[in-house]
Amino acid sequence: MTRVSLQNIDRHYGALHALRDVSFEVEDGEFVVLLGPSGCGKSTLLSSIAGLDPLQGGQILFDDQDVSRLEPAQRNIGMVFQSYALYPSMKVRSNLSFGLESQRMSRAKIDERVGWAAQLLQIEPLLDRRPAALSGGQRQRVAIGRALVRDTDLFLFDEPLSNLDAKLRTEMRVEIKALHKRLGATFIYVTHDQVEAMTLATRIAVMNGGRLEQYDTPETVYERPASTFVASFIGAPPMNLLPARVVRGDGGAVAEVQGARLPIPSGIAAQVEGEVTLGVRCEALTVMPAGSGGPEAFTGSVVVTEPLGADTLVWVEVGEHRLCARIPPRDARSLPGEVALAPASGALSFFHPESGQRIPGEAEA
Amino acid sequence: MSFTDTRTGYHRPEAPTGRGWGTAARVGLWAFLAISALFFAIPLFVMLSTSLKTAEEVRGGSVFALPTDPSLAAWGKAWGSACIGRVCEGISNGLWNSVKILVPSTILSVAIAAINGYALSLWRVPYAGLLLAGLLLGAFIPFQVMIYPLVRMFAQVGIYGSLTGVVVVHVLFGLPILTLIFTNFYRSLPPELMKAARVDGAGFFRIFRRIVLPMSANVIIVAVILSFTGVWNDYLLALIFAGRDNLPMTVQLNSLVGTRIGLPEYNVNMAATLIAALPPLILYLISGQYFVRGVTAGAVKG
Amino acid sequence: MADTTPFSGGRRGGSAGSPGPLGRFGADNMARLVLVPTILLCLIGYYGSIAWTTGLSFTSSSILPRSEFVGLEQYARLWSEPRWHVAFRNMFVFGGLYIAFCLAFGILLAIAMDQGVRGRTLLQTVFLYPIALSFIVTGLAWQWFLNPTTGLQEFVQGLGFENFRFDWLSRPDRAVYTLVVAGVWHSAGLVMAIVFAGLGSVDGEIWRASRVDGVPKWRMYLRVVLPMLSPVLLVCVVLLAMDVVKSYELVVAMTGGGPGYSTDLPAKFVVDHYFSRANIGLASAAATVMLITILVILLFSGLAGRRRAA
Repeated sequence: MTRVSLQNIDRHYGALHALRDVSFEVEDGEFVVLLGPSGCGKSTLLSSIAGLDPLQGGQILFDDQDVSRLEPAQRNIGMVFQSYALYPSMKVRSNLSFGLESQRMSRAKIDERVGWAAQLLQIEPLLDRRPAALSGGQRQRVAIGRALVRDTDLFLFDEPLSNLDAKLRTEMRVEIKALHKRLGATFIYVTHDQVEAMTLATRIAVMNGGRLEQYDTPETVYERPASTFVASFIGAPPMNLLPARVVRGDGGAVAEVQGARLPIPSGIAAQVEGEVTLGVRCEALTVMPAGSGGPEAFTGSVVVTEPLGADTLVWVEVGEHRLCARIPPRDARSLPGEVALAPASGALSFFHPESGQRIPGEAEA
Repeated sequence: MSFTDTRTGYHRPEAPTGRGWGTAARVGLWAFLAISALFFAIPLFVMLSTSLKTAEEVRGGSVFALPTDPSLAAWGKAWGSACIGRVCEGISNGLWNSVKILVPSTILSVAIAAINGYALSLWRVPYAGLLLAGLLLGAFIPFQVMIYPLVRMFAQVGIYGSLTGVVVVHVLFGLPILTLIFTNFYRSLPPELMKAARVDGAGFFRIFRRIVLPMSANVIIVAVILSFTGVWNDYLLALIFAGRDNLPMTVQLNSLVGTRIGLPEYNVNMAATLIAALPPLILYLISGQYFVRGVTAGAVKG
Repeated sequence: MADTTPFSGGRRGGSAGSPGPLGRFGADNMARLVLVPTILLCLIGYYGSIAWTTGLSFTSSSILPRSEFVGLEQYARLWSEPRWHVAFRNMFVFGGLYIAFCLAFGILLAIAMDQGVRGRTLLQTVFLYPIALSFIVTGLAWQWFLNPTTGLQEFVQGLGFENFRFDWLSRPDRAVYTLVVAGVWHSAGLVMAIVFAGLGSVDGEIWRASRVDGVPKWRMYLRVVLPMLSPVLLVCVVLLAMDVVKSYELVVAMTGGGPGYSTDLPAKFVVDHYFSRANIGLASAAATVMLITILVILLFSGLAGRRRAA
């Protein structure tokens, strides 16, 4: 069993600050996904965990043991690379066994490990082929197999599915999740694809500009993003964000935006002054005919509708902002030109207007 | 000097902190590189220092000794008054002959190769692959196998032993590799560009002049460098085809060193050797990465 | 191969008679037309000459070419000449050592340079400059440097090692090895440059994977990286082999074929017999043997290349 603890990780490349004071814990058997746009430092962080990239600050503990100064091979990890990094001159069998041979494992033990991994991944018929003779999905399996043969409970994946086509990617995603469940090992997985992150992770670490923006379960990251960055990075389409003015009245504080007056929960109202950024997910907006929404609804005109199959996205221009709402396809057919958008109660997120940080409500704090 | 590391995706395989290498291994690595560098540098150093010595000093001292009183006298003699056989005019007119051979040979072979490569790679030519293979096979056959019939053919049409003759033979033997370089380069151009030009109604030469040629600067430089070094450093073809009045520097150099009148003047020999080596050496030093690409062009997949 | 040209799309057969605007098949024909001079030049210059030489080797030609057919007589004479035996054997001694040492030295240099050493630019310049020089210059430089009475031997003896001997240049049984030294000096840098470029193209993640697997670096080079570069190494071997077969100038400048004819090579044998000894039939037979040798080399390297690809 492996628990990973990252403490104040720092990494520069010359003037570029790739990682800034990143800290988090990965529990035994977790599936943690590092998610973020390219250049956010997620791959650098994974390399640091593997020991492929030296640290300049902080430390990395595996089960309370400091591994910061250990060579990658000494850290006893399995790793799957984006390009698969298979040794092209060797057959699949040797690709799996090469690392074990270098560790002077006995032949019988090597055969046993290779056989086990090959069976688990169903690549036994491929063992005597060379990587060049394999399809993309098969190479992917072999790359995972090479990680599996190591006797370890910590596996690192660096964007392993990004070279596969869409269909295969979905298949492999399911298999990786099944593999995690079966092994019960700790997985740390880098991707820029939020669908992968949402479907696979027990917890997501969202990174931006070398910093950890949020580290939480997929549901929390989606519903209660820690910052406007997370709000606009997670979800397709991203969360609607609107600047609002805080007005205090008799019945408590309200956020005034585009003619709508949205009540601010008292726990949050105490923390805001003047301006605030409102966030609301598309599916939390109810579409009604214009004029029927009451004071808590935005009014605007429909710009375009995008049928997605299961539901339809409606884009509505409210003032100079464009908001999305998700409605059943049947409702989309009889949509009037002018509509009112009413946010579901409790579905609003509030962010600090300058820092973009989430303003936590009572339940969260 | 511009040998920057242009290799794509360059990755240093050593541990970034240097932990992958023990100190002993590092020392060994550096010792190997330093000794190798000496091995490559010493002959040039010896040539240079010998050429700056007087004849007495050369006979008296060791090859590694620095000249006590460096003088360019040997260079002057090699240039203007050293004897080749009975003619004592140095190798200076060899330089002029070399240039006379070099310029037309390079221009012609690069121009023809560029057009060939363009036609073979971007146009529909039946059996283009076979043509290229046939051309390349020619590059691999030793001159010796073709030399006598070529002499006879050239004599027949009256260009044997003339400037024209040696230029034609240089073009003939330069074409395969140069055509290969251009073909490979033009194959890598985006085909949409040429399709668009066709749609716009441009013809064969118009596309070449207006679209392909302006994108060919790099490959032309590589081809010129390759052709330059090949022609300048040639000895055998010029010896046989150029005729007595057009002998280039390499031939004169070898004759000069081979001329034995009195004591051998090693300082003059070395000065002459350096004079003959200087043009390609200078080209090498200023062209840097292009030169590397030129000489490794054969390694590019054909 | 023609099918990959961008202009072949959609047109079956690509004949000039296909419909289209006038400029279109005019341009296609122009592409064929410009190749005609090159094709003629090659057909006559290369293949005509090769056929001619091969034909001459079966005639009784001596000072002047004759057309009397004598079968393999010239070849029988050739193989009865001790000088040819020396030249032919030298081609393999010199060639084998030259290729082996150029490869080994060049690969080691490339790997050493690949360890992220500082001053790579300068080192590469130093290792590669001899390739810019002609074999004539190379030969003259080494002749001077290895000359027993003035060069290295004299220098080391002058240091007090009176018994130091390095007189290979003047020893018939050793002179051919001095050619190898000079040849390696000239061409090892080429192998270095080609292999170094190849090493740079190796996927960096493979090195990262090997570190996670704990594979020692020398093992990676031996088992993974060099096998990956085998097509590149094959190209090096072919290029070096071409040098060997053509290596006329190095011998002329360095040893003149001597002492005696101990460093003769087929390339020099052929030229000497054509032009100074005027024995055209014999020279043609020798040239034909060279041709067969090179064809065999090409055939083997082609097969090796195909086997790798399979």
